[in-house]
Amino acid sequence: MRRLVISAWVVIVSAVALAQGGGGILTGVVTGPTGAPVPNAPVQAKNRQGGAIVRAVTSADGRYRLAPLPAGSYDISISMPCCAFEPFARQDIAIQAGQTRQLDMRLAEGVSLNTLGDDPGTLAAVLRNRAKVPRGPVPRLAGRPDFSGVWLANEDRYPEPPALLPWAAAALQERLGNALKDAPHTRCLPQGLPTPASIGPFMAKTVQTPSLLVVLFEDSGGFRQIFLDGRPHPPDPDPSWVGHSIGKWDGDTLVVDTIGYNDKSWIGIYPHSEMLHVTERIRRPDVGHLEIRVVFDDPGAFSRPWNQTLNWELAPAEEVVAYVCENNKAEHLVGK
Amino acid sequence: MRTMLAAFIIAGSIAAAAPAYAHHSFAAEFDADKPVKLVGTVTKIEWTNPHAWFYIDVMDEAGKVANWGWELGSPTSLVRLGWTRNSLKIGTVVTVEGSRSRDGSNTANARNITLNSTGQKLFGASSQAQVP
Repeated sequence: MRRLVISAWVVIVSAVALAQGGGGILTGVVTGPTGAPVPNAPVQAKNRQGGAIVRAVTSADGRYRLAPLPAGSYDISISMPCCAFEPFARQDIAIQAGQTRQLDMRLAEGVSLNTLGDDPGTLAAVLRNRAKVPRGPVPRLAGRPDFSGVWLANEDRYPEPPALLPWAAAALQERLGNALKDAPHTRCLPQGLPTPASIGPFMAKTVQTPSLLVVLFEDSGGFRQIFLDGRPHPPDPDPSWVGHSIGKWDGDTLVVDTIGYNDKSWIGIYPHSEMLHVTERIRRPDVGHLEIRVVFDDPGAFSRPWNQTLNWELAPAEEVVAYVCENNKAEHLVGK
Repeated sequence: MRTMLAAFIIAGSIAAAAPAYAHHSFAAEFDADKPVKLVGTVTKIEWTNPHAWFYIDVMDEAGKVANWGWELGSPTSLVRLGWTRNSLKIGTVVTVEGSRSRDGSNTANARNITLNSTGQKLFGASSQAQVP
């Protein structure tokens, strides 16, 4: 669906470009802090007038080409998997019809400080090299698609920030000002919703039965239960780190509804309230991929619902491992 | 209402320049502007979540020995990248590069580890290093 939507945008953009007598081209090289090219960088151009989006991914030598771009002004952005590189944003890049414009982008070092063993991008490359992501028909279970598998949980490649209420914006600024030193994960608490630690370099395992989908994750707590047996939410669930999840099938898409969160967890770097209500539309477009479209609806923290699209990859040669968090030397975390 | 809108715009522009997800911020612990490179003998390895640590004894020119701790990624990730708990043996002499801690203690993050006996770089798990 996502690909279709992207294709549709490109088609619309192309049609507009043709109508205007040809579009422009934006091209260049993406490099890291050492000057080395960065492959697989998702580059996005967003038109400042109509909001139309054109996307490209850098090749092995770091090159990208965004075309055709109708004449106009664009915001260019790159968001790499956390946290080897800082995100890149450049606003108001003018493109004229028939013009080829060069924009080389250098990504600054991210908060991982290039620590050995902490770059999800490298880990993903190693896993894909060890065992190719399979293609093929989706296994079925009791008349439904079976989502079971071990997954490399990729982040949203083109994330949009949520519209934060003032208190949440202030909380975010404090977190950023402290170099994220109070992130729950740094104190051995679960991090990330709707599935904690379901981001590189950690992995998640789904185990499905007709009445239950279990998600095993490599973080404190370690599991999520999604009830498929038709039960409702409890009338007033006690707040917890993973909430209370129930799922219903909509054709081959599982619609998971979760409430009952505490307000201690972070959604990445963002705060939320106990009013958080999460909807996940999960489908398996082929055996090797799980697409999860998430809507975070929280009138206590966001002024409008916030969407993410996660594309998980099957990692057939991997297994989730036990995760007991015992020591992070939190006394060294001093912020800035 | 206008104030609120301004707050949204500010929040949006900050957020656009921040990682969407942060599992752990080494930048809260270590200072990228304080590079450090030391040679020493491995004394201990802590194969712990969420991050592994190892320690080396470093001798200065006056012959005084100090013990330094180096932080790595999670064991979970290191294993998938080809490490075992024996990849770095006690008694091995290594050269380690990283950034010093902000709190002034003898700790740093490990960006590069070289085995002095062979010159081999150990399991680079970062984007700029070699991967087994």
